[in-house]
Amino acid sequence: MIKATLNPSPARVSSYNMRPDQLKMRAAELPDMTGMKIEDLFRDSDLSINTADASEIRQEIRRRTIKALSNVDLSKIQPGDSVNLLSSHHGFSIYGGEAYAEILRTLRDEIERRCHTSDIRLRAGVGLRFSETSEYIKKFGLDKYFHGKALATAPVDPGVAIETELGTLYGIKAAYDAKWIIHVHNNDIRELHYHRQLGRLFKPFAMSYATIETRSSFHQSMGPRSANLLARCIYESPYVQSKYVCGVMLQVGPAGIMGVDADNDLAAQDKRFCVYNFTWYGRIITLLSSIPDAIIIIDYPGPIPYTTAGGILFGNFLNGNVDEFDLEQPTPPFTRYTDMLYPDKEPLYDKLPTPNPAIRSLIVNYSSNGYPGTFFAQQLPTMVVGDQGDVFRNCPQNKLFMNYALQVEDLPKAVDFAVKATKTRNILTFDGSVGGFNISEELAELMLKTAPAISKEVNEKLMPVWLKQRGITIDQAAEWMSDFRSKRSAV
Amino acid sequence: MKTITNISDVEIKKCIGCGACVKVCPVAAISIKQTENGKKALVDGALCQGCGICVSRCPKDALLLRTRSDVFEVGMGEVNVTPEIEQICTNAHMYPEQVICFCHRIKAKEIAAAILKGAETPEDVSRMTGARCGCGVLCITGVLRLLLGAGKELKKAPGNQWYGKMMTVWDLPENVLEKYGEQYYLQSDQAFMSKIYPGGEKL
Repeated sequence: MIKATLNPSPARVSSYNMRPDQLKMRAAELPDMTGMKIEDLFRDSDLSINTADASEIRQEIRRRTIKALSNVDLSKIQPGDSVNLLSSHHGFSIYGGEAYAEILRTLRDEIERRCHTSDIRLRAGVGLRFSETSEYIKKFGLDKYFHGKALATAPVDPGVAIETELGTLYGIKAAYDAKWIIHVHNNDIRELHYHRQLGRLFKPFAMSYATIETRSSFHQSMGPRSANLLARCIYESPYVQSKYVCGVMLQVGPAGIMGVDADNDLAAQDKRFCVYNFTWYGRIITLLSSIPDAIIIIDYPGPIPYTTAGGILFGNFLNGNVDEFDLEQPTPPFTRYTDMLYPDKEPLYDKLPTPNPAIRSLIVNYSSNGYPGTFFAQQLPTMVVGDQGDVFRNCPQNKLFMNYALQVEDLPKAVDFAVKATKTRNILTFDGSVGGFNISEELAELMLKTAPAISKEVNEKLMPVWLKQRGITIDQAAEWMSDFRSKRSAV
Repeated sequence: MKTITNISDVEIKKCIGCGACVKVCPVAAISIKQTENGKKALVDGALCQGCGICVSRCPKDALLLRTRSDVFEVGMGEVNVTPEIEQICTNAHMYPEQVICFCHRIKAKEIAAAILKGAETPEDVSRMTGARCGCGVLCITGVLRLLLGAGKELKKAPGNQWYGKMMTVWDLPENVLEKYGEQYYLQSDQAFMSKIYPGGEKL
């Protein structure tokens, strides 16, 4: 049943990665690997607008952005007003980033056309790699497109006090230095362990657009369910509301890029995407969580937990032993990695969820630095291939990583050893494949066999629970999904 | 112990003396000095831990990391949990063995030990333990909570990096609990976190 493998994400030229010529082999080139598309697993998947042609993607996204904006009220913005487009590094990392960049370009043009102002600025936030967004701005030519008004911000930049129902919280001053703001984001499932699909679209207000102190409180001083209130309270503060115009979302799913959604009401938009994400991500995450044992190959130019395939992060699989959509499951702050309460091998609190025990071996073929990852090497039997070892050794955030990992000369040797040591041939790769996964033939057979039952379980058993916990009725969910489909067909 | 192998270096010709680096350095190792070529950044090599945050925020790419010739170590060494350390951690709702700085795996007991040895500010803590000198983002709240747990008064930060005590799950106001409790599982998180962290029984 071996099918052609999917194209992995190309090597990235970045200060956070090894040089592309140092990457000797991709996981997709291993023998007995097969491509597994989401639509092969779930036949009723929505069709994506994926294409390898960047100009086609740009055209399609531009058309859809204009269409989505046509239903949005921009009348607050008067001629000559300043407008900040708030964006995040993550959008640029989704499926190559071209779609997100084109939304930003189109927004700039549409605001200028409709509102008669040219003072339109890009403010792009980051995670823990403070130069990453500058690299994206350069790569996508956004500085030029925004006439020199594109700024990569970082959470250590000057803050602005924002009075909220939770007291004073801090946004990045530059993000809010215009009369109006437009929140340009996405619905990618990404850090489910933090947002728990409880205000997914609000999260950047406590992350990309916030200073380290507010972000650190989100991460360390609240639980993953309650922490989402921080973002909500910042968004609903009089300060932010006095500037907020609308939210524009890159709409994605496990199958790829799906479209663009825009709304003046972020709460309504968030609820709609809640249903959307349960529908499309719920099944694939539940399916992956059912895999009993696997060797994981990390082969993507991102930090280990943020490596991706089929729209799913390795991080989602790492916590696959907990249903994170289920809000009745409490977890401590920084939960998925559980670093905080794992000083050594054993957790301080014995009821903590461990990393997914299905992960029998972790092979890092290609990854970024700039994210604290020592915990993974401490908790999972980890091998690092070739020059990637030096990427960790030279990273201020991973000085200890290689103390716990085994460095192996090449990828086939690492895989051979892992198969012998773990006795499993289920190999799952996070290599940036769009619309599916590159996996071993054995795992492909298992996933195909299991998918129908998982689909039924999610639709009939889990989804009603997830919806009820968020106060969404089955009828509302059906109506919103129908709206998404009719919008798609209208474009 | 954390081995410091890098140091931040200023390329004087490029430096415009704007001070952006001063405001982001977690150990306050950088100052702006008047020179014959105008204002320039000066890195105190004895303090710099080579985290590279200044390098990433310099608008003129005037800073770079280079390998140190004088490698040194920071950290509190082997820390035994004394009743004083236990108390500071409990006040902050933390286990002494809990990891606060994920980059360098620095534990609450090490930060508490630094405070007992004289650290008064997050910058002091960073100089003594190496915390906050990796990603520079994730651990500030943990450090602030421990300083407050030791009864320290937080003064003004030297840069942009912290502003004072912020909300934790343990001190959510009554009106917030009532308004958002059910939707955001506030009481449930409070109960869960009180169960798993020391000091929670004080609720």
